[in-house]
Amino acid sequence: MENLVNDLFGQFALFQKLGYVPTAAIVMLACGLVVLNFFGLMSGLFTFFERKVAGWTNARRGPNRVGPYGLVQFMADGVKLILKEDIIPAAADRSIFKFAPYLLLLGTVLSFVVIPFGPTWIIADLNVGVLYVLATGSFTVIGLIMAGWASNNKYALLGGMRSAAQIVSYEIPNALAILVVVLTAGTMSMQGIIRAQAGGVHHWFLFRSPFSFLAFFIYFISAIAEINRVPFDIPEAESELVAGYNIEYSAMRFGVFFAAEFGNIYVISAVAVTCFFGGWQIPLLDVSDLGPVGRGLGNFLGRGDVLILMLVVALGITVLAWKALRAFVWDVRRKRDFFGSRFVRLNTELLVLGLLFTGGALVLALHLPLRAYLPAIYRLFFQYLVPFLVFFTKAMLLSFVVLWWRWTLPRLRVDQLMGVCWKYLIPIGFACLVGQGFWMWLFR
Amino acid sequence: MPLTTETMVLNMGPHHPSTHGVLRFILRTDGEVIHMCRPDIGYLHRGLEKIAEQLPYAHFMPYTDRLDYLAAMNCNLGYAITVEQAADVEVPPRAEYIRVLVAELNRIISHLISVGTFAMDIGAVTPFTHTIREREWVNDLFEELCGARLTYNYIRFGGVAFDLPEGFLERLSQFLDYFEPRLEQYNRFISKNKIFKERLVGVAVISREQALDYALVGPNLRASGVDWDLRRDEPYSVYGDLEFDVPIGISEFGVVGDCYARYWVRIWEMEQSVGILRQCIAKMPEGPYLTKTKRKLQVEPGEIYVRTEAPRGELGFYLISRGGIRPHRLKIRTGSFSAMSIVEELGSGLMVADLVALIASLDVVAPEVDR
Repeated sequence: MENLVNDLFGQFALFQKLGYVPTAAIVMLACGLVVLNFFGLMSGLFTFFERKVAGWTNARRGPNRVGPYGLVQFMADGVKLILKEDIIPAAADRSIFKFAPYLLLLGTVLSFVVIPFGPTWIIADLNVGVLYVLATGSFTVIGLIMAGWASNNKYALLGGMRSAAQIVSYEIPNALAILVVVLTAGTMSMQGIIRAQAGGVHHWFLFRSPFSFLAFFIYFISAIAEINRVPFDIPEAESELVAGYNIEYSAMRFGVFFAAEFGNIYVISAVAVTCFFGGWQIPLLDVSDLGPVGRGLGNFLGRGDVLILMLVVALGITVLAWKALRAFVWDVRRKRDFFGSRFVRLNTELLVLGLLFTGGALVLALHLPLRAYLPAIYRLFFQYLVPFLVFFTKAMLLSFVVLWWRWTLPRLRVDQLMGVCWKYLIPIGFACLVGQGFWMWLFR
Repeated sequence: MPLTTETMVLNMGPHHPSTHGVLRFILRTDGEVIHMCRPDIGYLHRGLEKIAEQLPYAHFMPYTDRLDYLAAMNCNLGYAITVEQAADVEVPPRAEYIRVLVAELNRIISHLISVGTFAMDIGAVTPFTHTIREREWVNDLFEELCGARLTYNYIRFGGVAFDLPEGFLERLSQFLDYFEPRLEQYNRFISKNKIFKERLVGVAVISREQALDYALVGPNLRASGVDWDLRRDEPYSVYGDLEFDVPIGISEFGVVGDCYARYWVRIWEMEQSVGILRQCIAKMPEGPYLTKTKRKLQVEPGEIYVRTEAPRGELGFYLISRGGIRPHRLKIRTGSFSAMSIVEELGSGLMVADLVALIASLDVVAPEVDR
């Protein structure tokens, strides 16, 4: 963000006229909007994702009515939640009751500030990045306790107390596991930690040493406990506490709880990817080497004969897809059989892809000056888009594990939950920390 | 300011996800630990026994469906046998086999629900949907048989309402072939799950003496190590001709009489029921499926108590007749009712989460408690 402010201020007369502070304010506002929207989209998509995963494991379909594949279901749900009446119990502590969900949300959204999206894409690369994530993660507990207390409901209170005990306990192994990473990387900055893992999969902290390997599992388990997911979802244990801390909430305040919960899934996965899975580092490739490669690729693809080849291939795809579609569409209309419809869907995608290719190739062929920008476009591609996609894919894979557990495992009891933390995770976490120090001394 | 703690009264139910219907437990808890737990029943009381006094014998049959809606066939069967014994009605052999067949099939799906909701109360949602999927198949079979999917009203005095449809036995064996491996799948999926075991082993142990004192019946009794099954020890219908084992709670996985033993007994009973069903399919005789009885059945004055083994244990009908077409009194004794009474003794000292496991393990069905 700082770089962006400096760039804008240095390069554009408009911003110089405005002054440095207003420029910074505008950039902050823009970044805030981006983060909030990304958060909203992520938590929305996670509700969809979770329901689809639930569908797969539960031998049913999951959402498939609103939008393609049911993708827009979360928007419909959001609209419904906003339109619903916001009921506040008469005996509730009104101001705290109203404020609690937003505190929870704040903790999650604040975490997004230091989550990297690419080598240069990050809102603020704080030098205490991971510490900051740990700190914002603890906002949750205040929100939950406030919600539990203010609802004036015994189930909510029990849920709030449970979550307090749970989150405070699990923060310790969480921090210990992160400390192992900090020790190895020698920095707390998120980007610094990722850069320390450059140079292929075996440089990821997950595979650096047996201790950091163990540390990942400690981190992951305690992080899941910290965001109250199964098997540690005792604060909202449905079969015991009905809904726990959010039992009295309705409408969008209820929605906010869940938005925060789903946003948190992305946060913990992103932190795990940053700390153990090499962040945006592409497996088997070093991003810093990609400059020339990208340029070369750009020059290659910019050549006239390659362009023509692309055009021919794309046209071929389009025609084939179109013919296949036409051949099958009548069968499907008559029989509505599964194979046919899946075939048609595949071909529709092929058709769209082919059309896009054709269009792109045509644009490139007709507007030759565009070719001059191609190397720059490809560099952009490899420096921004590919790392982002790599990071995102890794984070989503980890998130999938979180959701998969959610629909597979039963729930622990309160005392067992504490036992897991204090008897196993914390001692092992300490051992990992000491062991990692020893390992680094041994193999320095 | 001195720090003091107080116990609090927590109302669990009548609307609560883990009370399986409308049950209420009044808990006095110190934080998570329960000091007192009192079941409060009667939210689903419909006066079935009183209704029975107003109706001709045959007209009460649909009401027995509502006695335990998860095992309507077994309730039908218990009532039918009671009235048949009181009025000396003959049942043709084919009808007897069909009755055992539907009763065991119903036992399987009742236990499926029990196992699924059990897992759900422990926090695993997925097993429930899988058991429901299997149950759906049986529901289809029942629908084929009598047109209903839940409240069957299938058994009549002197037989059953309809003969088996064409190809029913083949489709049933198809289901059994499909279902048997599923049981092993459930075991891999949930029964042998570490967390699941941790939550249940050694929790809410009912000793043999306690089980007998509180007159627990059925799987709950057998899980405490009492080897008692009416199907084997006081055979009714054609159970005497069929071979099956009676699973009882063992200490291999934990303690005899804990929640986990009660879970396993149900899994094993499903296995045994599959065996019984296969025998029924093999032995199914030809012949009539219903003895013609009078439209309004008359029962000689007298008393009779008949008990049968329903999925939730002994289901007893105590019938007092003073002649005529209506019973003078019909007392129904159900397994869930006696299971509820033991909750108060076992509840204190447990944690809230354990109480949920206990209720789930007793497999209480609210309409059967209240009648």
